[in-house]
Amino acid sequence: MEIMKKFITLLSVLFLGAVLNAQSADVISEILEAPVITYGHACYISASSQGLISDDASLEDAVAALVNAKQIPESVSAWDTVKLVNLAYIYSHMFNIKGGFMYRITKGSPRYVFKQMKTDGVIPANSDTTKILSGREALSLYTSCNMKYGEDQFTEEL
Amino acid sequence: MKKFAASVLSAVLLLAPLCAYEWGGLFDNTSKITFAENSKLLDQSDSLFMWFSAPLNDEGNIYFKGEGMFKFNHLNNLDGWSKNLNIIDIDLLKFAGDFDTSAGKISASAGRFFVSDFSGAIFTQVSDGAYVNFTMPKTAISAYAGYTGLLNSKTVTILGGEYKDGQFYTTATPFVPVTLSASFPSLFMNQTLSVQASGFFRADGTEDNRAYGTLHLSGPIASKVFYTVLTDFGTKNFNGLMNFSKVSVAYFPKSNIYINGGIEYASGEQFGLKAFNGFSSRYAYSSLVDAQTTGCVVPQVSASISLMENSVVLGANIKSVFVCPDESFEAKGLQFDVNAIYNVFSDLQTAVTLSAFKGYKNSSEDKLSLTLKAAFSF
Repeated sequence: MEIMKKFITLLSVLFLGAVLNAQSADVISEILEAPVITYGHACYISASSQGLISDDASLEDAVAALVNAKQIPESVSAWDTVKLVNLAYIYSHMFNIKGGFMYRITKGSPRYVFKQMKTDGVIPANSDTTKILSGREALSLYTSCNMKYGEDQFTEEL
Repeated sequence: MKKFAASVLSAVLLLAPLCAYEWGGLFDNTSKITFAENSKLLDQSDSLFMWFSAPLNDEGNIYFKGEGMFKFNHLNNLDGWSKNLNIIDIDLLKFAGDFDTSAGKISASAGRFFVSDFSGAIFTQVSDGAYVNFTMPKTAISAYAGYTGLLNSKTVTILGGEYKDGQFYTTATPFVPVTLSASFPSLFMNQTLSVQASGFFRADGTEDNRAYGTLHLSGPIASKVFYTVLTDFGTKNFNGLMNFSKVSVAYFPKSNIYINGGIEYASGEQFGLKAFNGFSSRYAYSSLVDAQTTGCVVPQVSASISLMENSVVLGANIKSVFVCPDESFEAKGLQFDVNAIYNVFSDLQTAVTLSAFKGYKNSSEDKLSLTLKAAFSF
């Protein structure tokens, strides 16, 4: 179990490496230990990856950054738990996902982000939209997204 | 029937608010034109499937799933005759659960869902009933019991059953199907041995009871090469034995290429056997008259390749058909199918299939058909 924790931390740190400093690494460790993923955690991962927050930003700053970027509604709190469908939607802004027809015409609505990630095997087929992940599971999902969509993006840039 | 539909609808509406459920749909348009020696037929259908899935506990291991469909079917011989058919059906409605125990995993389902026997030649259809499977490290055992009298006979064809004319929904012939199965995976050198016994008992007093026993061996024989050997003996009203057997070998030279070769035998009245008949309709080959799996020997080869990250799938299948309804043995004809699937998006698929049957000796069952299909999920 300890090895798994270190592995997930290592992968997350590698993917977020470009924007991580010591404080960021502390937040990632906090997320890894969290029994449930919150909007603050999810927004921190996304905002860090997109370069929307500074090195010393708090979880509240991360939520505010995504609200300003119109990636989440204003009504959420950093301490609210995130359903899987909304976590997938927050993550989707970090990647250039080549979605299906409905994904494109709804401009990546939460429903079709969730369905697309299931189709692509990033989210297990039997997962429920309302499932609430632990911090470690949320980081694992981020790693899966990066391996699926990050690689595509990288290939395109080549 | 109305009471049953109302009960189902009430159950769905009562359960829906208790849990967050997921839903989706699929629209399918299929157009097939068939050319024969003296006739043409256009078979066009539009189908809408709507499904939902609702977990019934926080762990998500107990859930309720359903799917309903509406199909409009237009048949036209391009010479003045035409027929429209509307079909409505519930093809999935089940409670299911997966439970881990110290001895293994138990999976159970109750309701209406798709079931299939090991051979795929006996009982492969939607059915109402209950299924339980217990998977242990070296053994898996399962049991199923059901009832067919509430199914829609327009979507499920039971061999020997009665077909009622009418629109939308007509109930199927009532049978009680029962199956018991055991599998022994990795019995020796990664080989899997499976045995299955099944019985189908007419529920309206008519003497039409059937029983089957199946022996199935499968596994790898070399790197990327897998085989299946299966034999099935059955009896109808305990009046003689009938047999279905098949052997097939599958080869995966690359991850995107699949090649399969094999041969099937369904007994006729020879070697002291009766003509084989399963329970569900299953075509052995597709000439002008789609032929059930009975009294025939069918060697076949098929291959498929997926390209462009599975966006395009190309496939071909060739069958040489020999019929043996009794002691005679006749080369009947050659069936050839080619198809191409293009996944425009992950939720939009188009496909084209060209299918031909050419008799070796006479052309009365020759046909050429072209099928165009588009499916869109949302």
